[in-house]
Amino acid sequence: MSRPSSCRIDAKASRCEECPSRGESVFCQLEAAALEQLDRDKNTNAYKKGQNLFVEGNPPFGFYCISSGKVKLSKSTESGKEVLLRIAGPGEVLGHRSLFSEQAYNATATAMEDTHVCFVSRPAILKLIEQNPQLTVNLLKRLGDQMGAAENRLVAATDRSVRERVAETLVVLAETYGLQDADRIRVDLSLTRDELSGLVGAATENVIRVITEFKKDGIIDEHKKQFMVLDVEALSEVASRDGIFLKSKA
Amino acid sequence: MQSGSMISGDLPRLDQLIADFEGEVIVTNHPWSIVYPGQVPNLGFLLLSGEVTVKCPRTKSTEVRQGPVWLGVEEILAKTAVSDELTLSAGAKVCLIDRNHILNSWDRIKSICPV
Repeated sequence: MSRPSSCRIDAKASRCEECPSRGESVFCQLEAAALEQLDRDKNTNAYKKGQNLFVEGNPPFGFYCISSGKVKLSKSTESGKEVLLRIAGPGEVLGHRSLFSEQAYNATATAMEDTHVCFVSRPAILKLIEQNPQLTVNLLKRLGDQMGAAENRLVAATDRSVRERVAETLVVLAETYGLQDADRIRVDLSLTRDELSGLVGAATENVIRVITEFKKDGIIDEHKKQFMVLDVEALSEVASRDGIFLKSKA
Repeated sequence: MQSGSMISGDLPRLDQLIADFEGEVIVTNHPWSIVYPGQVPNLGFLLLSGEVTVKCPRTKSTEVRQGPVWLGVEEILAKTAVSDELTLSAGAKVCLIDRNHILNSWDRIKSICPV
């Protein structure tokens, strides 16, 4: 039945135990035997920029764990505009909410760069959860964190100015994806104005206006479609947050 | 490599196949690219009705196939990557088959519904 293939995938598939993001994933506390089971059950694929992992409105059929790269979750409005909900990086899981609620995917997941993603089917992940209660706790924690973040954004949308929200979003991006580059922080992420507006939760024209103001004030700059934070303290002050803690350095 | 196989079995037996292997039948609400060139499919698919578009990036050709057709099963069994992009059309009725079922029970699947 099977025909010869021209493109055999090597075992880049990698073992979970050796995954660079294992420490950050919900699977970090699984014992060796469970990780081996996961290795057998999962399927690892590479996605190029712009390729979809899943599409909003389609039924859920599994669970995704990002091994490397970045994936954006976006939702379409009735007018057809794409609103960016969040960005997921290494160690983060996707599709779990729809999987457990048995509802259609609420958003579309798209690779923002070359990304390696492990897929575990619903039967396999449910079996793993049954056998490993700690995994349930880890997943609940992720769900709680995400719900908390969504609530904070909702409150910010009614309580804070667009200027504060843009600053807050840039601070979070710098914390999560910032790389120290001489005396500035480069946000290692290419975002369009529309995508940034989705994260901020404001109209694109208002976000563009604030970005222009920040540039004029010497707080941020842009280079090759990436934001550079020039004055961390000023940005944090506008965002009413404490200092930025960098995740990694270049 | 051809990424789909036409079914040559007795179609009413598909119901038996789906029940036996706990295959989940869904109807897509939006076009869905189930696999991209260079990937091993996450699931096996049995397209029951509707269309799948097969895009070959090498030859830049596009072919539209109608169900019923197996998709991705050969590649899961052989652990090989597909060379085409397969996109299900909106409204396609498709049975999702877990890859573990395919790997462990292919002989039984084949006896019910040959490819």
